Amino acid sequence: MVKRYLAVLLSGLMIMGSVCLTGCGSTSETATTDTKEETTKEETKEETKEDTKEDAKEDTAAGGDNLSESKDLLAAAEKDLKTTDGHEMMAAGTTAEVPEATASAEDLEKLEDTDKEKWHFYEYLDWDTANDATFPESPADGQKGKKVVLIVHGAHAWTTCYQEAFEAACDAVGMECEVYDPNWDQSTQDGYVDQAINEDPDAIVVIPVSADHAAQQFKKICDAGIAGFCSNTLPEADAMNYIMAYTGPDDWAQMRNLASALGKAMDGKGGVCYITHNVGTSPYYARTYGPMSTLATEYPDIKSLDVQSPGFEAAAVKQVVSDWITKYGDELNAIVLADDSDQAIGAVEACKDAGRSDIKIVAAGNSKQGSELVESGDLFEMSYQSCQADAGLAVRTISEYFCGEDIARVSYIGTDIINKDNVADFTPCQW
Amino acid sequence: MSEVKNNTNPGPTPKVDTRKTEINKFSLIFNKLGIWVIVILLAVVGMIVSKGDFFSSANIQSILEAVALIGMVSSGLIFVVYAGNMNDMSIPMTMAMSGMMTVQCINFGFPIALLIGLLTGAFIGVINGFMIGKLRANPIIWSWGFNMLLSGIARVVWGGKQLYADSIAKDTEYAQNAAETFYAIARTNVFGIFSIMILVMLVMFVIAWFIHTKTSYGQKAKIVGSNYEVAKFSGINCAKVAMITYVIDGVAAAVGGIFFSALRKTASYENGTGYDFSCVTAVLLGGVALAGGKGSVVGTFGGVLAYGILNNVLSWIGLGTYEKYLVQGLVFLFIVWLNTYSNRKLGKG
Amino acid sequence: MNKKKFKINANFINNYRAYFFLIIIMIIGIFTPKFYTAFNINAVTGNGSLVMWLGLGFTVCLIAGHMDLTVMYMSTFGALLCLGLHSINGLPYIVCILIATLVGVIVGLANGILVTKFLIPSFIVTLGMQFVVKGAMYIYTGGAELSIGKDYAFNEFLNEKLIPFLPFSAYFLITTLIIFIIMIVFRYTRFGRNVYMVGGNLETAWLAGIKSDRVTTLVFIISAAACAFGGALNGVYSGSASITMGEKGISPLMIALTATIVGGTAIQGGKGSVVSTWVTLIAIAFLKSIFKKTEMQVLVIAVILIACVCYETITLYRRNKTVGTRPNLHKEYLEETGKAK
Repeated sequence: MVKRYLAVLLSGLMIMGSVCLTGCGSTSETATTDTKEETTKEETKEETKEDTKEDAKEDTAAGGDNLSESKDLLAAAEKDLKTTDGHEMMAAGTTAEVPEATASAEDLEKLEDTDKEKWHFYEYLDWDTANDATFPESPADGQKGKKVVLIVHGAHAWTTCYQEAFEAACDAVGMECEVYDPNWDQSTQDGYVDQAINEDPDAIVVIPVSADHAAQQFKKICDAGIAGFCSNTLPEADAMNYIMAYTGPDDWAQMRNLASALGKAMDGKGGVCYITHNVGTSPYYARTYGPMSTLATEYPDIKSLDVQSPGFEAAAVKQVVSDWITKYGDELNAIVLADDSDQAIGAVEACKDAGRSDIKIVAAGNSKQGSELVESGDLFEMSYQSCQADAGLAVRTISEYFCGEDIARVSYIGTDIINKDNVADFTPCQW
Repeated sequence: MSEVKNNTNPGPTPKVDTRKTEINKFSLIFNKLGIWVIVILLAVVGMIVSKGDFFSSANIQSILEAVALIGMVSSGLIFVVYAGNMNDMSIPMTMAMSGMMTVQCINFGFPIALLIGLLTGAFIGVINGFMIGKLRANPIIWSWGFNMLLSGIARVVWGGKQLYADSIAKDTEYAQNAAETFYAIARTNVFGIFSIMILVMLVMFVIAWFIHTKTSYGQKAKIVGSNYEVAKFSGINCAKVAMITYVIDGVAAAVGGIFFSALRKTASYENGTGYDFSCVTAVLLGGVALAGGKGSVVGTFGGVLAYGILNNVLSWIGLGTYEKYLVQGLVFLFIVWLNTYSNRKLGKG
Repeated sequence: MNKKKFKINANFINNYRAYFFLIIIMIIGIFTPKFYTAFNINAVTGNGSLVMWLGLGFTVCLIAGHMDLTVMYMSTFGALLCLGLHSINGLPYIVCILIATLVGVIVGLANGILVTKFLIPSFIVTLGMQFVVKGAMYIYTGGAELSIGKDYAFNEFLNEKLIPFLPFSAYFLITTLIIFIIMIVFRYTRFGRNVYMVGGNLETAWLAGIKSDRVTTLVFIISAAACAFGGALNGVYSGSASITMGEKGISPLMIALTATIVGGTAIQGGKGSVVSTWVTLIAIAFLKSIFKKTEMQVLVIAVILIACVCYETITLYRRNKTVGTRPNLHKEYLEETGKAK
């Protein structure tokens, strides 16, 4: 009996409390309902912020003081910050040309997997700019003192490295940053997006867990009048309507380069097997169908034998590769992996056990395990995808946005191919 | 007894046993041979599908390698299920923690690091054993909660980082050698055929078989598993039995975890995720009843083999990863049903 | 009749621990900046609703003395089916959700029949069924993610505040409504009481003439159907669904189980309340906006779970120690702690 009363009482209390306290948080209430008003409000807020700062530093020159200081900071950071393997961390990004799509997305879906055209909308962020949402305008007063929330996809060695680089870069350019980690769960990430909006920062950076879901997440951020940036993982093309700018590695290009090099090394004949990334994510398409379609167009004699997704456990990959070796025998000449740490170890062990050192294994990414394997010659080659430069480019783009500069909507970090000859240039590894 | 009875009552005709004497032949065969029927069946299917390559040494090696880790953990988990504790959900973190502790202590030299890793497993086993054996906490809930607690602690303490043995090892030759030995244990072949991992798995099954059949602990565990009250009133120290059970389980999981991180070359809190369910699947396939008190180590080994052969045969058939899940689930349900069905038909259920 | 003395002691706190948990979280919330904003409350309750469906399914099964591990995959399957049928086959959402629920009913029926007719323990059945549902999902989608595309109408309805002055989304209100309906069914109908009976003591229930097989099967159906329905709604609410949802990181199944135990449902069955689980899940949802780091969340939730398990275990251990051995002492002990009738 008491329980029931308590339940009623409590729910009543909760409702009453939340209603009463809604008054306290009325600012964010309006944020969800009225974007325009909020942006103007934000602008005024920025102005007042600037004013107070100017007041504090009356002795220096007036007008855009924070801006010039910010620009200096950015320039200094660009020069000073270096990645662990000795490359520039905050180098400017590159853009890629987007070719015209030959057909609509539905028609392209019907093509063969090996056709390059099929993956057009996966490969390029080819979105309709006419549908773009109205983005909040840049305050154009410098990034110094701005608050950024970073929502990563989940805990992993790569993520830790990215986070640390992001924090270091933010520190160097004078931004505050807070990191949320949803642990690879899409609904948790949704929760964090809501929480980040609730905290009312100046910009939100998201590494989406799921490409298809990015549109909803960035729509929410955009509706709240906050600048949303997407980093690393490719979102679906339509999500770009709500994304201020995308920065990250050009996964497709680097996998295509890798595949071309592989095809050349195989003399244009043989059979290839593929191990995929997590099914449905953007690297899944880029790292499996990118090389597959490149090989099919450039070297038509190379057959693709099988595609499997055993996940990221070395033992599971080992079993799949061993099965392939017994099943296909000499037909199998090369394996393309989506990951160069656990998957590479599994594949290399399996080939070693079977005494098949002739099988060429290529992988994406550059982890410590991977570059050791390249060094020892077990891994034929792998792509260079700098994790710290990825974070650096994101911070750079955000800073440029706050400085009021024009930013490229899509920019990529530089890529390279690591093989036995140049592996020394890319060590010590970032993660 | 019966002789005495016959002597005192010689007159009346002896009572006819009206109980059902005809036993389903299939049930009997299945009950005697258990999972090995399935293993042979799968092997025959594999033979046909692979056109004879199935019994090539490379393929057999690959099957064994694939199940080596699951086999190691299962050889300890069988006692947990056997003693009526359903499942140990703290296996993932036991594996992860022992791997991390081994890597963290690699500077003391390989043998000591290994020992510390095993002790970590044993320690987690002792806590589990105390809570479940002595205080009678619900095994599943307790180990689930404990797994979560350990995972939280590991995340906070190591900050979600991956540990590499060669970067933790100091710059002395001794420490670097230890790190190299650590990596090598998952990569060395003995006699050119079996890798150490397979050998360790087989040895662990032999030890488990010995403990299960030849020691008094094995007998006690059977009684505790089949009927806790009876065991208690017949003077068995149930708490002690549970404690030993969980220590064995913890050490087995620790061995698995150390090999896991040696194979992966890294130790992190996410090592071993999913092993709680995949290992109990193998154990249940082997005919160990979830209620406890039934099953054998030989059967469990068969279950582990069946798990590997099924995967192997499915890739020979050419199924993708997706369809494999469906077939695995259906085969698992079918085998477990056969187990319970044959037990019931024989009146053992 | 009900002249029980109202006394605040350990027993009382233990019985209503779910509510105390929520109150403590709410009090801590006062000191957390931007906690009591309409936006936060709306978002937290909305995002936490999926786990509430899982908790509902899990609790219902646990009351009947069974474990249902399929809940998580069932909800993902529901979401995928709903979105897939809508975006690929172009069916209206109501039909999609109905079909998803129907698939839930079928899976629940399969679970129930395997448990009651084939006499396989529920833990094993649902463990195997997990793989089957996962494989079915892969085959249905081919591994791709599904989203609502550009059709935001129903999504906006679920996100909208149904009652203007309450900061709760329609999705959360629907969840709450159904949980309270199931609570009423379980508390006041014959079927509901039978479930408690079956969970408490199967033999007695059978002897009392309850068709225990039918009751158990129905419970599995309710659990799977509720999860499929909730998953389908969640798919529309959040806008997309993928197979790997909840597989990595803190699994929602784990949270649902924790909430069920902290909510006071007995693991052996026969005792528990759907509403307590619901209250705990709200508390856990709010807890996430206090402790923002995932590792801290895991640690705090684990500590709460461990504390509850330890408390229960130790009380049971003490009672078991006295039961049977020295009856007089036991009586005294009971009088002392105020548990005697």
